[in-house]
Amino acid sequence: MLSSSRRKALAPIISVGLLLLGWFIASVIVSSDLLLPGPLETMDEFLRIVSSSRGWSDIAETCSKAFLGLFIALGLALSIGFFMGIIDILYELIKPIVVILQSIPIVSWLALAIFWWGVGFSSPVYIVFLTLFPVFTINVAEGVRNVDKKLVEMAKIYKIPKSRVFAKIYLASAFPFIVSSMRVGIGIMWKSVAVAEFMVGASGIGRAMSDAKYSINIERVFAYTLILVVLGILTERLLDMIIKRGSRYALKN
Amino acid sequence: MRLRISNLSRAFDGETIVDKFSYSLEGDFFLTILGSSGCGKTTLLRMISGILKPDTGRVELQSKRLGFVFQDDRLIPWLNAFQNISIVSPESNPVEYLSFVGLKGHDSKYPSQLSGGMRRRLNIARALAFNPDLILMDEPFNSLDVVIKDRLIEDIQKIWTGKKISIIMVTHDPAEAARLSTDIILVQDKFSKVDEIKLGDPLRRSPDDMDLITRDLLSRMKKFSSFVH
Repeated sequence: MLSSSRRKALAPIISVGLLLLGWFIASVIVSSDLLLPGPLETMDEFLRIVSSSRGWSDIAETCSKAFLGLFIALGLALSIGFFMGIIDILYELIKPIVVILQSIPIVSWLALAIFWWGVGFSSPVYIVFLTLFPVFTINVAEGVRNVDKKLVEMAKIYKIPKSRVFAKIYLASAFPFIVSSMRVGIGIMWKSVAVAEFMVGASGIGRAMSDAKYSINIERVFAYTLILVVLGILTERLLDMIIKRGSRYALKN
Repeated sequence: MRLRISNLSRAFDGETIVDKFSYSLEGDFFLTILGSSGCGKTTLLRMISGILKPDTGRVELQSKRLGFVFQDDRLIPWLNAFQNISIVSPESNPVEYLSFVGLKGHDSKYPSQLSGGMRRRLNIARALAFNPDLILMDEPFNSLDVVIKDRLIEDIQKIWTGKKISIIMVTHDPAEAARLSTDIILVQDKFSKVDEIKLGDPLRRSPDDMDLITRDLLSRMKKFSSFVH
């Protein structure tokens, strides 16, 4: 009998294995690299990409656009969301705008992006920013509103300086909200940066996928998709590490 | 310490809770605001602390540093015992105050890891570490078991005698009031009737005196509540 922790470690390996097997069988049945390249062909192409400098520069390009958009969105959301959280009237005023922003589909922004920013580096950054900013802002605001008002009153009675109240009470109670929005946000980030590059990028993974599509190199499309999946998993892991570090730091003096 | 309350009123949603109340007191006092629940005593304490603004009237308080022992403790859940003290008074030595209230060795425990009585002690240690000249206490012995409550009462009396601190305590228990107070404000139903009682030094009070005072306070409280029902 397997122990429960070993069973837990084994479960994802089995499910991913089954997925690969299903993919392999389907590709054998279809037997066309144009319609459905198999896992082996995709792996081949994957290795070719990651052993070329062109491949790495595309990955680096996409990463820098994605993270730049993410950090701008997070920075703005922290400051705007904080004030929305502590001032009720600001919350009531800004929330509808943020909700509208959140409901506008990426394609609408993409259509505008070409005219506003042109084809190149800025457009994908702007798309990532626009998709993440509403999610982060709402969550920071909700997190700050969620603060225990009684703790704030306690801080007032003991005349705790504002900066410390912000860091130790407001930010700490918003922390779980920020973390969960980051988790959702990172998934959205890779999807939106790839779409933006696909449509209006001059370089990067999305653009490489678009080129591969035009030259009917479907293995390449699959291989780049695999790269995006790997990036998504890696950043998720990185976030977990940062959260662990962050909560350990927050618990220290 | 000097406390002067003049013509203080406060209403919530059109209902008057504190009504034109005036009172003044000087010296190293232990003032107890006594009354059954819902009589407005916590509202009065909150106005004395300055956290709640009165509709009319004013509170003059000589105090420069004011500590507060909260009924619901109000400890920061993600900070440990040590940090909960150091956040209000960074220059203090939290360990000293933790051992004073009998929480030696618990400095790295979080509020959720402490029992109700221990949390109350931490709450008191925090108020003491602030180095106050006046401590306000809102039902400090509420929801504690009898033995812990008795020890805490002794501790608080020690704090009051040893440190030249004035204390204002809110309670609904006449026995606590009789044991600790130099002065009592007995509040009946939203300040429609207020008795001001001067008792003098509680350290010179014999257990028999305390019993007598307790019974007297209780009969005053009863008289009024029979009036209501």
